[in-house]
Amino acid sequence: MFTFATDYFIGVFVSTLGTLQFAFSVGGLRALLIFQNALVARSLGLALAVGGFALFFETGFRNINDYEGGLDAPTQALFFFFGAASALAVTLAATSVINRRMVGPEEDEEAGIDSLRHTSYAVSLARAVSYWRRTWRTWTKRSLSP
Amino acid sequence: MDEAQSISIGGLGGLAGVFSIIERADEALFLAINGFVGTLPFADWVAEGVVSDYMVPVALALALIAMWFMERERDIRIRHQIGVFAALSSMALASLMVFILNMFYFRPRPFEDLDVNLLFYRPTDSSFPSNAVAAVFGIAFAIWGVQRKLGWAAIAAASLYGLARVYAGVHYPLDILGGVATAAAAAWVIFRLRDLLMPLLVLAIRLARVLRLA
Repeated sequence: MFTFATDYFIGVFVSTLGTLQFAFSVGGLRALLIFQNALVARSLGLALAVGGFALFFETGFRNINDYEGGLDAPTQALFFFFGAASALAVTLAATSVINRRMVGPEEDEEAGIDSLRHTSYAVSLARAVSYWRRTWRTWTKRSLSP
Repeated sequence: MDEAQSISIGGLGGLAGVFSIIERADEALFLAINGFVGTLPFADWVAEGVVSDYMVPVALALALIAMWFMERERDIRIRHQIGVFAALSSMALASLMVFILNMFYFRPRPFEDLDVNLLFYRPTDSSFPSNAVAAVFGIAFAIWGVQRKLGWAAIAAASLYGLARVYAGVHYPLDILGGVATAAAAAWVIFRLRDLLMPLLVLAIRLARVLRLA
């Protein structure tokens, strides 16, 4: 069970890494890309997305019932969440280092991921948190008002 | 026995007859599709992959992740992000509906009653409606509701998944149609409730925006 779940986690992790690179490239979120060239980023993304599945299916027999070593639906959902969240966290951390020179103009918290077209995630998050700390009262009032 | 009673019993008999005909047609179609197993080794290999609990469901979940980030236009992106919540809710509601249906009706799996070429493990839950198919179509219909192109691709993947489950011997064709109908109902309910849940969804997206994730 543990090995099966670990294999699943690794497969989801690798496939999510690829999916994210592909989506970030199409979405123009340059600060989240490992490679800035669109062709390289999308090819790498597709290769990793497919590679995750290949890794999972080629390393063992996978049509197994949950009481015989497979995963039941809630466990599968949980491990998918862990795998995908880990891939996102690794991408955000790695691209913050790789694209550390990307420092675009200051923007408010409403900019959201659009700020990641020109500003690295670490810098953008620091700015957002700092802005939010100064304006959280107004932000909360505005967000909770109908 | 009065006339009304005899008409009522006659009507029930007629209904049972119709069900029996549908069931036999369903079994015949199942046997025809499942009968191809062993004749085309490549098709068997593909079906064994597609029918897995880990291929189409995971691919659709990855499509939701892509849909969250992929759009450049902010307004369209927000619609897609609400679509991601709708897809997850629709999947959960479809599974809940199957669970409730199965409290009243249990249909044995094809391999329990018929001579089947089985390419999958032996599930123990009810065959009708297909829970797995209801879940993936729940996601696919919700994606279709906000992004047609990706939605059609998701519906195609979910349909292939449904066909593979019949081919592999774990479901009758009618189980798949039941799963699709359940998913359609779940997605419809979720889209109807969308306005009610909108303030909560917008707040969640705004919070994610503070973290630069939406």
